[in-house]
Amino acid sequence: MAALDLSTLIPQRKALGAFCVMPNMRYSQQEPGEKLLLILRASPYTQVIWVINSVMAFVLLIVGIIYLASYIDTMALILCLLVGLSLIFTYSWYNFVIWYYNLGIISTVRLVDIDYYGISKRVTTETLITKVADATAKTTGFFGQILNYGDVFVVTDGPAQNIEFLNVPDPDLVVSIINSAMGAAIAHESHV
Amino acid sequence: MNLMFSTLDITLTWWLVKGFLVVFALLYVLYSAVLLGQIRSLARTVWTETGGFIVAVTAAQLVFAVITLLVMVLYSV
Repeated sequence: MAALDLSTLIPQRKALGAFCVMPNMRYSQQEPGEKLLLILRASPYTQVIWVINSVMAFVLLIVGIIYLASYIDTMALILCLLVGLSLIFTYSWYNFVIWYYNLGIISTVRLVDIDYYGISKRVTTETLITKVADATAKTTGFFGQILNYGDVFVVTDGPAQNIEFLNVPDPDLVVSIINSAMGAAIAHESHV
Repeated sequence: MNLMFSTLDITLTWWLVKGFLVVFALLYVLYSAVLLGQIRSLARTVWTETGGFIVAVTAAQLVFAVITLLVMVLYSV
């Protein structure tokens, strides 16, 4: 994949925020002068199942409440509604938050992979862009090919952990941006 | 005798249902509180335009959980 000229990148937000070029965001470890080039989340197409589940559960709850209305008293009905709504809301919000905060960050200085697995586990992997040895895009499966999403694997030099951005939109462009950022960072280092 | 056991069964089942509702609501409050803590920590790590909204919705979930717990407790006692 040919490297891009980073100066030609313009701020844009695609795929419901799953692919943000030059985003209006800040990272806590961000250094002065460091620019965020790309923010990645899993493609929205990979989130369809929990959205459908939530909508179906909500419809079932409403139908169930209407059906039960003639059989049980109002207080029991309110309890059923509270339990049902809390379960559905918890399920959908939990999935949304996991999607929203499972981030890949590519800046002019570093690559960061934040894996948020729910309330009990969070893993943040970070490496300097100059330590990147290789970046590979992998698109597999029928839907991945059709809807253009896939995985990006970044191999680093030395003992630093490798970084993976899974199910991200436009993986080829991601690799291209990583290569460009890597080239620019190495050129900057050699000038200094 | 059968009637007595049947009444006992119904009473026991009813108390089990009430107990389940209170425990459910209590767990919901705990879960929401832990999630809010996590989200606030994540929002500090990565600042986004919608991060504040996500913290606010998670806080609203905690309020909803507390209301649910109160309703369950009032219903059960």
